[in-house]
Amino acid sequence: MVEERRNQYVIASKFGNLRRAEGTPTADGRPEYVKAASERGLQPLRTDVTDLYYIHRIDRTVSIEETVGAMGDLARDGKVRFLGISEASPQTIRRAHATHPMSAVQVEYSLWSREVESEVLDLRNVGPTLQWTPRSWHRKGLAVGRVPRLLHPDGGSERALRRGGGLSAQGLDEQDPLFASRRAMAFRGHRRRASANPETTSALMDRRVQPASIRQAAESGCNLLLGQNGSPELVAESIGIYSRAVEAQDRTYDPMAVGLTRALHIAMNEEEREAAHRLRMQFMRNVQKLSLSPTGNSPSLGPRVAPLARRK
Amino acid sequence: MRRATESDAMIGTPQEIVGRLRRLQAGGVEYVAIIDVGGSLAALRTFAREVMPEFAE
Repeated sequence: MVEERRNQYVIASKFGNLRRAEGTPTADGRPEYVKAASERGLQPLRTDVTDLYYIHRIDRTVSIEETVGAMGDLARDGKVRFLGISEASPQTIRRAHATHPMSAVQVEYSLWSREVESEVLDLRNVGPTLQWTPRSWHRKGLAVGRVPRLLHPDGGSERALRRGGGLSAQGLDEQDPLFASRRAMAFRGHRRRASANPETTSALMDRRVQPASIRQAAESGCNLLLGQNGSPELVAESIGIYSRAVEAQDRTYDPMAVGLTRALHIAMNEEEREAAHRLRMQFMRNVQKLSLSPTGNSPSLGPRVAPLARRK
Repeated sequence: MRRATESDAMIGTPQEIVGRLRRLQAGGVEYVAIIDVGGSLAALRTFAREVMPEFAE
């Protein structure tokens, strides 16, 4: 499978995001774990190299230099090609990058969670190789948002970039006034969430279509990403609004411009089906809880960078 | 409870999931990003063997 067509795949993997026996999240960044996890990841794929290897969560009991040092050893041994870091503070990203060049930084960046704008995105100047892979743009089913138009500093294939390839956040507001206006809207939404507005909660849960937002996305030439909580009827309605808005501008509608996320739970028997439904309900309750949280931060992870209120 | 989760997530046997994808396709969907919440290799294999071929072009 993979081994026969290895050069057609780009394999990215992460390590160190673990759960304790009682279910609480923890991290492991010890050098011996870094190396063992890399080996474990390679075996089932029958390949001897991971293209991009990320630290998934920062282990606060180990210095970042130690963890990245071990990753750098893997790179020198040819076990990984490029290194990445996920969900880290700006200081940690800088220290990691100083230890071994980081090729990718993954942070949550969505209309739901824009804390990174305060500091992390400034790091794009840290190194010319740094690419951004925004995580969770459809954060927790964040309704029908449009994928922000992220531009590559040297042009690049904008279309490919918007589909989620290497991304950078160069000049977001300057290049895309619409994004700036969406930010303002999201900020208003943020304050409304704090007042437990049921309508906002319903939008966050994808329980209604937002025609104005979809048309805006279509008219500005952006792709559309639909969250995972919309029913097939809402999805079809959203696609209809988008395609009509594109065609109203005398452009050809490309069905690949609309992405839909769906959770998959294969259940081969009743027991597995019940377990899947329970997991799903738990997820939806968490989304509801988040939509009522004043900061929008995940209760399990807490704020990782400056809260919105302290944004410049 | 079932109704709330069955309208969106793809929960079920491979045949049921093919049906759900067909329904989305009929509504104009061509690009689906699947999130395998359980993350088990067995589930991914089942998906690759029994669901994906139905949509191969």
